[in-house]
Amino acid sequence: MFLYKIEATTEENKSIVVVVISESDEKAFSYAETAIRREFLVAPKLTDISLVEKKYLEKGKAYVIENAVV
Amino acid sequence: MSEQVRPWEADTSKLSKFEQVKLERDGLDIIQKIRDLSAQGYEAFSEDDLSFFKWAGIYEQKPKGEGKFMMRVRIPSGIFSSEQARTLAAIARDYGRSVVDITTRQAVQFHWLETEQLPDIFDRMEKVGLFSYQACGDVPRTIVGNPLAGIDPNELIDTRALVEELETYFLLNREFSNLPRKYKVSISSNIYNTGHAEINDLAFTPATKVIDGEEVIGFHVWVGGGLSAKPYLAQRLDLFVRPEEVLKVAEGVTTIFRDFGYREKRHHARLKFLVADWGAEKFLAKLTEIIGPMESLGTDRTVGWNAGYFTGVHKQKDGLNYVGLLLPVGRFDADELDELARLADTYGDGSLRACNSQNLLIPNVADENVEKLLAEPLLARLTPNPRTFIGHAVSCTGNEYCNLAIVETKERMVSVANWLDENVELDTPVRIHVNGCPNSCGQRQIADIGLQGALVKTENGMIDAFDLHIGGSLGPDAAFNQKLKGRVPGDRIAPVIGNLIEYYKETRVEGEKFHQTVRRVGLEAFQERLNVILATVGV
Repeated sequence: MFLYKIEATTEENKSIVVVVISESDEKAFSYAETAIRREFLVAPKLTDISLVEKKYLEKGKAYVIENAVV
Repeated sequence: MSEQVRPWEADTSKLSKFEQVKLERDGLDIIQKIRDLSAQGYEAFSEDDLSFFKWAGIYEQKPKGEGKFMMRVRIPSGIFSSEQARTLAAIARDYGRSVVDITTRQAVQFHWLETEQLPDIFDRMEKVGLFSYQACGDVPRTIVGNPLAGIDPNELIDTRALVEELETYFLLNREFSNLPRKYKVSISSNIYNTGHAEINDLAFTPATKVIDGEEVIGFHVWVGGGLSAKPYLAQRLDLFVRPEEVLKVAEGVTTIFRDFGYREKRHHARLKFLVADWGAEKFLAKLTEIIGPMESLGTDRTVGWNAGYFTGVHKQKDGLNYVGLLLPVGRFDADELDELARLADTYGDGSLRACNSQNLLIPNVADENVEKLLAEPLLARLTPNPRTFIGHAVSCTGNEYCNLAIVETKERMVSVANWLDENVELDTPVRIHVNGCPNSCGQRQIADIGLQGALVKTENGMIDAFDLHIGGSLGPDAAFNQKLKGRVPGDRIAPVIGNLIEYYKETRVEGEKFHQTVRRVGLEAFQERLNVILATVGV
């Protein structure tokens, strides 16, 4: 199992970062897209979605998302 | 390790999980355990055991859990003999599907090894003075140095004995077998920074100082450099070191790292984090406490950076020649390594040298042997006269073997470089490096153009793509490259780079290197050009 970092851009040029656990690269995309659909009232249309990093799934493993709007 | 309680052992409550395990066992014990249990196969080793395989220079290869390993072999300063080369070739042929890689730290790597084979590999290497021990793990790794040491017209002194002194001192030394994290040392007296000083935890660079009316040749000392996901350039200490003091300083710096380095989080444990927090002044004060007062800075003698490239035929300082050969992206096979050993015996003095640009050179070739060596068939592929782009291309292992790499890198780098050589005319080298993930085995950050892989989902499935980073260098104007916005599909990356290089050619002033142009005109200018390129090619 890996902890994946996936970046996506919406049609409105909004950036989304999804951190997802998956057993494979391919499924990581699928899980990430599902997570995005669940997150928003109206699922955004994505212009691109990329897998940029993966780490072994272990306690404490994380990604720091810089420039996140809080 | 001695019974003395080290500073980090006094309160273990905040140590990371792996640090707790490291308290219970010395990493180097794994070497004997591998010898004892390997006949029982992969299953004989626990998860903790496998974590400690790194101390023996061994990592699990992709896919993890299937009992295949990568092994790294220390080649201090990149210098090895034809006998050692034949031993390495035989190991690759017998156990490693003939694959041999030269790394960006002058080491050799095998792939496809199995547990049962490891003791025989250890034995074969020990017989010829080679070791994979401490090539990985939280220990002093192989010492990077000047591949031309001893024959170099551009070195102030021969550093081979110093590298050997440190190698002997740190290898299998249990006083330093539990450092907070990996620890990389570089020693070079070459004035073109052949040791890539700024990206090592500890580096010695050429310097001179007039002491008591006499000019002394020695070193300046840099600490806290490193790449990975959080790159830092090393900081220079206010210190001048005589050659006979190198070991004392190395021991002192390593002691500081061992005793004061961070052990709570593994991603925040490299020496660079301690140096970033302390600063050079505090670090030097602590070092002085340990080793006593030293001379202050002398004159820095580094004048530039050659990025570790030595291809071609060049005169040594003793009148003999060295022939620098291209090893495309650092990969060759056992037969080629055997043949290189024969060439070194036939035309040189039986020695070979590995460069941190992933290339090789054959030293000590007499004038009358140069043409005969150049006519050897092997040099058709491992050419001393490479074309511009393939001659300056570096790649990490990529997802062929690495568990964390997201994309394939070595074949991609070769195809990109070959395309550029066919389609772009250029009189100045542009160094292109590729990383398969945000870690930095391909040293993407120091490249003129650094590629970092990502996987992009498209209508036709997942494709490899790359982010571009431009303007990196080491040496007197050291700085890491900066990211351009716009992820480029793998099959478009070569023409996109080609177009950026055309922009460099249009924009540069005479004699300006790629990274210098980037810094003069600014990232934004290149970004605007990239935006136009991407819109044009429909990326």
